[in-house]
Amino acid sequence: MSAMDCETARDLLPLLRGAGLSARDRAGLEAHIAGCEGCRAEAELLAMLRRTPATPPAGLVERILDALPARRPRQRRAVGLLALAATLAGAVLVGKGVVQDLLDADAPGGPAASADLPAELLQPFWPGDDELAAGIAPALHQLSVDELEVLLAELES
Amino acid sequence: MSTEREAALTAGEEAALVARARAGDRDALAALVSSNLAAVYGVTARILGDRELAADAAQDAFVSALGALDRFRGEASFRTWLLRIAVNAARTLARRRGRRREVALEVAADLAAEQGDPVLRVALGAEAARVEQALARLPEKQRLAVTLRVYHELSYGEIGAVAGCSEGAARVNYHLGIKRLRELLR
Repeated sequence: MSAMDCETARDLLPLLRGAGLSARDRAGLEAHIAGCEGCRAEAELLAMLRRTPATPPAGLVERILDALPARRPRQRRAVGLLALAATLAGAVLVGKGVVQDLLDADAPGGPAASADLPAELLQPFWPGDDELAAGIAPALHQLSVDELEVLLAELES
Repeated sequence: MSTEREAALTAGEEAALVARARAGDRDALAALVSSNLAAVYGVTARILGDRELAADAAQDAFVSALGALDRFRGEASFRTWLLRIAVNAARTLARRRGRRREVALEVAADLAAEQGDPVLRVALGAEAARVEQALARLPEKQRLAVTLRVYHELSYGEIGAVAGCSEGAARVNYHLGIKRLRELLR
């Protein structure tokens, strides 16, 4: 097994404590860290960062679930009650078009679902960042094609 | 300390949950929220630097994404798609509420308060405050790349998909962020 270089080691360091590394890369990375003061210091920096996670507040899961637009049974009940009231009153207060609108909104993928997603949330906001890769960190481009392929294979595994 | 990535769903589990959630299965929706909350909140908190705003943005992201599951085509993972929406939700909220706080100490205060040992509490609290201050000083692109890579172990390709930049740019942003943090925290 060839020795791991610093560029590869530093790319893989964030994965050292998780399950994203192969046994071979983990062994290579640990061997590299043991003999490289700079990469060992970076590993210690990452450990320091990880001791300060951003932890969600208690109850946020429940709050989110309560906010989800899954009020379908209530909408159906509301439609039913409105229709009943209209019938009993002998007046056509709830026309077919209104009822149909509510039912359409209730249907999966209907108007309610799409209206909940502002278009801006799905728009990219950092277009054209490739100049960063080209200009600011030329050392990253000194990796050989083989090294890049190994790195990409590991990153995508 | 375990990372959120360790609790992440496999691709098969995620696809099955998404299919059930599309059909209105509340348990599946809850599982998708639970398994992605740490990453979504982590992203919104690091962008906004404010605990309450971060929770609001996380909620916005989940409500938007889960309300539009029919638009999710599976070209990226659900997690990546959701995180992309979370980033945009946080930025939208930041624009509406004004500038983000320059320094976020709430996370540090929470971490310190959790420690029973007074000496450890003081030490970890001070360290957490330094880390939060240093992270807050990074440009947002670098802070996001570091957050997604260090805390959630996303690949550079995934980071690029979340951030809306190329994989190469995501990698460079990560390394620039780490170099800057090394200077700020030494």
